[in-house]
Formats: sequence, C-alpha cells, structure tokens
Amino acid sequence: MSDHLKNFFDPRPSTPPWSNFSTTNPHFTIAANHTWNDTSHSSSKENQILEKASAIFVIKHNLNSSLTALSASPDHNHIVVAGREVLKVLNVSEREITEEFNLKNRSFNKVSNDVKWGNISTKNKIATAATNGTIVIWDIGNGRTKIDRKIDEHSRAVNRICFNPTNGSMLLSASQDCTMKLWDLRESDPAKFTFEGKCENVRDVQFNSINQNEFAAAFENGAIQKWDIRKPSIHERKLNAHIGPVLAVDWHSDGRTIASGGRDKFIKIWDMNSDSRNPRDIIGSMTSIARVQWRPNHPNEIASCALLSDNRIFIWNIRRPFIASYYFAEHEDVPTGFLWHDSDVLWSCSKDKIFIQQHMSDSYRPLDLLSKCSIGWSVYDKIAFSIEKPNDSIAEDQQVSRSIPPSGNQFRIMQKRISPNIIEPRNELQQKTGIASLPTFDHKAFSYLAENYIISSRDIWSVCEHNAKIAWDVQRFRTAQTWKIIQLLYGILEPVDKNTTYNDKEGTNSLSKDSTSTNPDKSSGEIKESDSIKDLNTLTEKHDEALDDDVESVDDNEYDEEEEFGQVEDRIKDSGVQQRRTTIKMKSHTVQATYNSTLCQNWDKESIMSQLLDYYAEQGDVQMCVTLMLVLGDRIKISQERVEQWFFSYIELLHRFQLWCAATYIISSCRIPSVEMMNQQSTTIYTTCNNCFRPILNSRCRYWICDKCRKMLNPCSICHNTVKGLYTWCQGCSHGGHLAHMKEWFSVNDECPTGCGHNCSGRI
Amino acid sequence: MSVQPFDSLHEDLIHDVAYDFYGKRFVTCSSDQKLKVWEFSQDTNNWELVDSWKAHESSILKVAWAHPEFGQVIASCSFDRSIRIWEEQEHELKNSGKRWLEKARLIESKGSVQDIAFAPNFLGLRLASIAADGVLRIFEALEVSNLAHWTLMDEVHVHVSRSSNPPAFKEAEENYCLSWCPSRYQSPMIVIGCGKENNARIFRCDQNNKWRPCEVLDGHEDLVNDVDWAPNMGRSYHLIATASKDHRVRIYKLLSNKDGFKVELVADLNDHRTEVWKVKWNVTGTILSSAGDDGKVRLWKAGNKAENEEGFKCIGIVCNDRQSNDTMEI
Repeated sequence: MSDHLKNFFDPRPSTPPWSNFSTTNPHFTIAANHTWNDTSHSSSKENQILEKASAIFVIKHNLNSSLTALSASPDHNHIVVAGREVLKVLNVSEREITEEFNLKNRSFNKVSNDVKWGNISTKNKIATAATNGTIVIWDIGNGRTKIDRKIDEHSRAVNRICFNPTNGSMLLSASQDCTMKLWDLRESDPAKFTFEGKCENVRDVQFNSINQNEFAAAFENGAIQKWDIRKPSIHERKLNAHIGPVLAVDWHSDGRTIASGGRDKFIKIWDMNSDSRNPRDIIGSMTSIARVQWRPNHPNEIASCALLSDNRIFIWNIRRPFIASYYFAEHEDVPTGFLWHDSDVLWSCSKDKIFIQQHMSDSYRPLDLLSKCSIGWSVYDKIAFSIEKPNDSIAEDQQVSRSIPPSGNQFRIMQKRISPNIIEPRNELQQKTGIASLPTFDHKAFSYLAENYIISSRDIWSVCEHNAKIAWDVQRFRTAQTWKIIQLLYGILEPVDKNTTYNDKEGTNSLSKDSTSTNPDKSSGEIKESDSIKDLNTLTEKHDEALDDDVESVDDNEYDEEEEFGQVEDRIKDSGVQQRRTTIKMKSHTVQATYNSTLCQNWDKESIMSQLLDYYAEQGDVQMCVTLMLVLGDRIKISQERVEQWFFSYIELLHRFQLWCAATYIISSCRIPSVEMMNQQSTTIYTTCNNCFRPILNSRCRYWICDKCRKMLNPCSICHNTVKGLYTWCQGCSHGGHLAHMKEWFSVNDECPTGCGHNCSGRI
Repeated sequence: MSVQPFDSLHEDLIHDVAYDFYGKRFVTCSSDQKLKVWEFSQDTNNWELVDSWKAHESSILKVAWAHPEFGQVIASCSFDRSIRIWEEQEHELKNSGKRWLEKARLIESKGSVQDIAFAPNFLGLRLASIAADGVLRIFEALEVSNLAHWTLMDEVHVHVSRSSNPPAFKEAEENYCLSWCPSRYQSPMIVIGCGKENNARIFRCDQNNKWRPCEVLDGHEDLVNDVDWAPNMGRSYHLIATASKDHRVRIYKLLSNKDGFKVELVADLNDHRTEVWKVKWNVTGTILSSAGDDGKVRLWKAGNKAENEEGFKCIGIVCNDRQSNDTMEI
C-alpha cells in the first residue's frame, strides 16, 4: 500500500488528501494551530483555530475567556456563550464561526453559572444566572442589546435555569438556596411558584419536552425529584439516585426517561413511569459527571462531560455501559457545557476559552483501540485465551474501502459512510474464553527427572547409567541416548573413573540390565531407538568385562590404539549428530573387537559437547544443560555466563513447579558463586531454643548451641539427632524434628512428642 | 491437546489474562472495570472464580502478576489513567470481594495507561508502564514490604525526535506496548512499541542509570500493538515478537555484538490477515502464540534446524467455532 493510500485509510491522516481545500476557502487552513485573523470583523481580536486534518468538521473559536455555559437560539443559527468576562452571541454555520455581539457590560460583572436562550415568545431573549443569585434577562431583538429585567429573588447562587420548551415565557431556576422558582416573564411579578426541595442545594432543573408541566431536578444530596408545576407544594416522585451530589439531569425525548449524572462517576438512566427504585441502566464513567445530554435521533446514546480532570466529551450507548462508543478530545481543559446541534454535530465550550463545533466523524472510537483478544501462558503450557468471533462485516468494509481511489471527494464520501449513524446492537458478547492445554511440555516428566537425576560428578559412569535409565522411564529416549553417549565419552576414559567404574561394576550392571528389562511400553515407533539402547547396553557390559579382565594393561596399550583410530576420529569431527551416533555404535563394535576402551580419548569432545548443549539450549531444555554441567563439572569449558543463565533458568523452572528440594539441591551443588548465594539471600527464620525458649540469634555459637542454656539446639524430638535436611517445628512450643518423623507422629497424635503438653497438631 | 471453555462472567471484553508464577491461578481484566482471579480446583477439575472486584473506573487494559518473592501482588492499568497495585489478604474469604486490597494508585500518567510489566525479579520490585502520553515510566517499591510506596524512578519520552518538544498528543492515535528483557547478564532493557512511529525500539539503561534509545525493530507498516521479549533460557541470542495492526506477526532475532545487538527479522507471518493484537511466548521461549481480529490463536514454533527447516511454522490454531464451542486444529 502506498503512503498516500495508507493515509487515506487512516481515519485521522497526517497529510489530508483534500489539502487543496484550503485554496478554495481562505478561512480554512491546514497547518496545525494556524491562526486566522478575521479581516471582515476587524473589531474582533479573537482567533479562529482550525485543527489539522479535520478542517471540514472541527471549527474552534477562541473567546479569550474561560467559558462556563452555552445555549443556542431556537433556529440554531446563533449561540450564546457565557464566561467569566464574556457573554457573546456567535453566528455559527457549517463552515465558520463569527462573533455577532458582546452583551457583557459594566453593570454586570458576576460570573454566569448558566445561560439559556429563550424560545417562541422569548426567542429574542437570553437569560443568565449568576453566582450571586441574580438572574438577568437580556433583550437582543431588533439589534438592541439591553437588559430587560433583573431578578434578585434567590439568596444564593443560581446553578441552572431552564425555559419551558413549549411556553417560552416560563423560566425555571435551580439555586444553591435550596429552592426552585418559576417565573412567568410576561408578568413583572415575583416568582409564580417556589418549589421547596427540602433544604437541599439544587444543581440542575429541566422541563420535560413532552409534558410541559413536568420538570426534573437534581440535588446535592444525591436525590433527583420529579415535579408537576400544578402541584407546587410537593414533588411527585423522589429517587435516591447517586452517592454525593447529582450534577445533571436530562429528559429523554420519549418524555418518560431521565438520565442523571453525579459526582460518583455514574450516569444512571431512570424510567419515571416505572415503580422501581433502581435505575434502568447504569453507565460507569471514569470521572465525575458534570453534564449529560441525550443524542438526538439515537435513543440509546448519551453524551457526558466531566467536572474535573478530563477534557473529553464521551458519547455512551446504554447497551454498552462500560466502553464509551465515541469521544471527542478537542478541548485542552475541562468542557463546561455542550449542546447537540443535530445528531452529528456537537457544540461545546470549555475552561480553555474555546468554543468548538465538531462532527461525529471527528470523534474517536475507543472500541477500535481496545484489543478484543488476550492470551496468557502458564508454566504448564496451558493457554488461557479470550477471542472474539470475527466480524464478517468488517472484512467487507475493508474490501469496499480498498476499491475507493484516494481522492478528496471520495474521502468525504467514505467519511460519511463510516460516520456511525447506526450503532450495531451489541447486547451479547461475542468473546469466548477457554483454556487450551498443549502437549508441548510434559511437566510430569520434568518433575520426575528433576527429582531423580543424580547430579554429583564423582562417578560419571554410573551417574550416566542412572540418568539414562531415569530418562528412559519417562520415555525421553533421545535424552537417554545422550546420557549413554556421555557415558562413553567421559565415563570410561579417565584413569580415576576407570577405577571407580571397576569398583561399582556390580551396581552399574544391575542398573543397565534393569533399564533394558523394564522397557516401558515399547511402541513400534521407538523400536529402533530402544534397540540401539539395548545395543549400547550390551556393549557397555562388554566394556566392563574387558575392563574387568584387563584393567592394568589398558594404560600400556593406550598410545598405539590412539594412532590406530586417528582416522575414525577425523570422521567424527565432521559428522552431524545422527551420523555421530552411528559412528559411536560402529566404533563400539570396534571396541568390542579390540577389547580396548581408550579409543574415544581423543575425540573432539568439546565441540561435540558444545553442539550438544546448544541443541538442548535451543529446545529450551535447561534441565538437560544444567544436569550435564553438574555431572561433568569442569570437564566442559563453556562461558560461565551461559552456564549461569542455564542455572538461573532451571532453578526458576523448578520453583515454578514448586520443586523446592530439587531446586535447593541444584543451588547447593552449583559451584558458581552467584548461584550458590541464592540459598543465603533473603532467608530469615525466627525461632527459639526448644529448651529455654530464648530467641535464637546469630551469636558466638552460630546457631548450633543456645546461648543461654548451652544445649544443642533443636534436635529431632523423636530420634534426638541433629536434623540435617528438612526440619519442621511447632511455632507454639518450638519442638520439632525430621519431617518424616513428625508426619508419622502427628498422623496418630495431637500432642507434642516431647511430652511438653502442647497441642501442636494444628500448627505443624 | 484439549480446549476447556470457561465462562468468564465478565460483562464486557476481556483485554488481558495473566497466570501467576506457578501456573496455579490466573487473573483476567476486562472493560467491565473488574479483575477476576481464577484458581484450578482439583475437586471439580475446573477453573473456579475465587474473587472478583471492581478495580478501575474504566476499561482495564493490562494486568500483571509480580514475582512471588514479593508476595501475592497484582498490578493493573486502565484507560482511567491509573495503575493500581493489589495485594492478597489471605485472611479474607474467597469471593468476598475483599481478598485483594488496593495498596497503591499510581496516577502520574497523562493518558490512558496502555501497558505495564514487572521487571525480572533480580532487578527488584520494579514496574514499567507506558501511557498514551508516550512516556515510559518506571516505578519501584524501594521497600519491598511497603507496597503503598512506589517511587517514580524514571520518565522517558519514547519518541526520540519529539522528546525535546512533547507533542500535543492525540491519545487515540497512539498505541504503546512494552516488554522487559529477561536476561540478567545485560544492562536492563525494555522493548517498546512506539505508537505512531510504527516501529518497536529497545531502550537500554546505561551505566549512569539513564534510559537510552537503542536498536530499532523496523519493517512495520502500522502501529505495533504488542511486543514480547522471549525468555532467554541461556540461548546465545534473543528473540522478540511483535504484533502489528498491519496484520503481521514478526519475530526478530537479536545477536549480541560489541555495541549492542545485530537485529535480524527471522519471521514475518501474515496468517491472521487481520489486525493482530497479542503475541506471547511460552515460559521456555520455544513457542509463540498470537491472537488477532480473525478470532484465532495461532501457535508458532521454530523449525528444526537438523531437518533443514528455516523460520517459524504454525503448529496449531485455537479457534472459536460457530457450532461447537472451541476447537483446536493441528
């Protein structure tokens, strides 16, 4: 895909393909944050800022003052924005925003909490509500801008005001003085009604758009109330909606559903016709909700903005209450008000002094950013996963969009097409979860090997023999064969080992016989391999016989034999693993023939071993690497760093499988200081002398003898010997002993074996 | 090979699953703002829910389990811009919703926290995080016994060119991910999927404890959605896998040389044919799994050199069939 094409498919391209747009309209520039001075309005010092890449839809207008609220004229051609120092009317069109006039003047210097544009009979009136409780009605008809009326009936700040949607002369207020008041603006009388919210600060009021006599109010104590203005004495319905203040209410266009938003970060949807005291739906947002507003023509969607700390405006679908369907991230400070122009265009104002007109196609879709699948691996090679059923329509979309050539016009068509007017209902989750168990790692075999391998390097011959058998037991035939080869390579060649081999011959033979006779279920596929093992076994037995007969003479003959087999040795160097095996077998025959065991001595063992270790390391079989290193000790020269890696990896694996004894054994057998140290780090056991109960501290006697009573510390209560290995003791009476002894004792007894009278059974 | 379906009981998408060190239990995180811990029950031979709680105010994107030497500790990060640290309270009853106590809340990020990862345990109790603001943050609990106190050790802008002039970022355009180098024989390293740069880059902690941008894993044609550094297990080279929005899974082989790594792309797999979201190595670094929008988990293994097979082969597919539950093809 070419760069151009790629940008085209990117919903937010960095270089817009419609950049020629700027030449057709001087008001539209593509450069980011480019300021445009409106020459036609020379009085205006404000800047209009156009965002890059979204010039078609996002229009920003800087008002140089922090904004608190906005309202639209009934015909939606004008917007009034209120702020700390401004009260301005803006002319808003699809393409541009211009300032009509400023209402702010000398006589009015209180901050406006809210502003509302009247309707019908008051379509030329604007009402503002101030923090000092004053409501001002402005008249903007006939080019005048004068104050029509000032209402000072509230004793504290007015938080919100609302014109009745069907009777523009009715103005309702919500105040911090715990009352709501209703005026008929046709009369100059004081408030017609005062609604007592029972001494709760009122944060929001709104008329029902269907039933003009109904309004909803939001209270600081968490309640929402429904009132009928014909019954001004008492609310019709009250719901405890939120924990903490309710900051916003909004009637749905169906006239029966209310959305409320609170500082408790929830948006709750209430069916006012139902008797239930529980919300119909709950949306959990990440910030306190300052304002909510249903999206026109999308009955399931509602927009919200935060009170603090989040500059985004979210649009939620109540059917998907956890993930916002869209959000706008155009503001650089908290939005303070927003208003739907139509179902796709949203106006908003913010503390960042900017008024923005934005289109839904500028919004982001959080769902697109979230991964719809997950994978987790356990040490047992189990995969926990969640995957989503592929959505066929997505694939179709891609097919279609691929065929659209990248030109400006068509881009806009596609934008429209993508612009999500219809939300696919998603009541049921498509995601499936499961756990797949893979046969790739046999942890039982791993544990068996870990617990049964001999890792001392003293007697290589019998160790290899034993380890081969262990590997054979768990059907690790290849590993078993490796041990046999190691046995041949290292087990019989060095003089020291020869003697040992000789001495231990009985044991070794019995082991090898054992391994051939107890072949576990020999599957047909393994016949060849097992046969070769047998072969090797018989061979090695013969070796032993040879050694038995002729131990003394070996040294004398050594020199000649080396010469004789020099050629074979060369061949081995160059051959691969498989060949090497056959070679070994072949050579073994030779050995058999000549009754000489020293032929292997000059093999290039190092390169064979490094290849061998590489092979196992590649397979991730650190168990084999470490065991080989321990058995062969310093006979193998390999970078200490790698060996340490193997050790640490293997020990970690043992820990993961909770094979603590095996891990400890490996650690204490390892001669690499950093590994050996592991057993001495971060291990603190607090215990007391089991004779005098004095805490045991690291003192002169180094843990062996109690400082106070001078007795040998903590012998086994059963056999009275010092415990080497696993020691267990009762935290209550400090008596303990060998794990096995204690297990045996407490399987039938509850009390301490010392007779101290303590009931240890629950603690040991 | 068998697949055992289980009902996650989450009310929205699950975004991450993490097993504990021993593979005995795992935790799932979801957009429904909850974390759920599951344990294998020998009695029923099934995975059972042992606790579930509301952990965040928004979608939980990642969850990680600390090494058990630091106790039973879970970290989670969310779209709500916070990282939270949870510790198990063993005296609380299972499924009481109280078993995991919030010990700390890290709120330094200026965008949603998109990935977190605990450092290998030999580096201490450290947590790396990357947020939509394009900043790598490394936290450390200097006093391991005090999980309430985390120190912000480092803050690194991952966009090399933009670091002097932090951009007015658009959160939604960026997607970051990270993974620690598991090796203890090199200076600490993290590989980071660098959002709009459409690549992944290795950051290395130098002698002066400064994180420096180093090798780039390039070749991506779109956002890198996930990276995973394979467990090394004493191999002579490193492997890093990436999942990209450009439909591909890539595997890079890193060979040490005197001033760092020689990076080689060893696999470029487009079997998913849709956006790939996750890549994850198994514990020994021998099998790679990847998952994408095609609704399949694919398993990859290196070809056997002895048999002259080059590169990585698909060895299995876990998929979600329409009729039956979950099936696995081989």
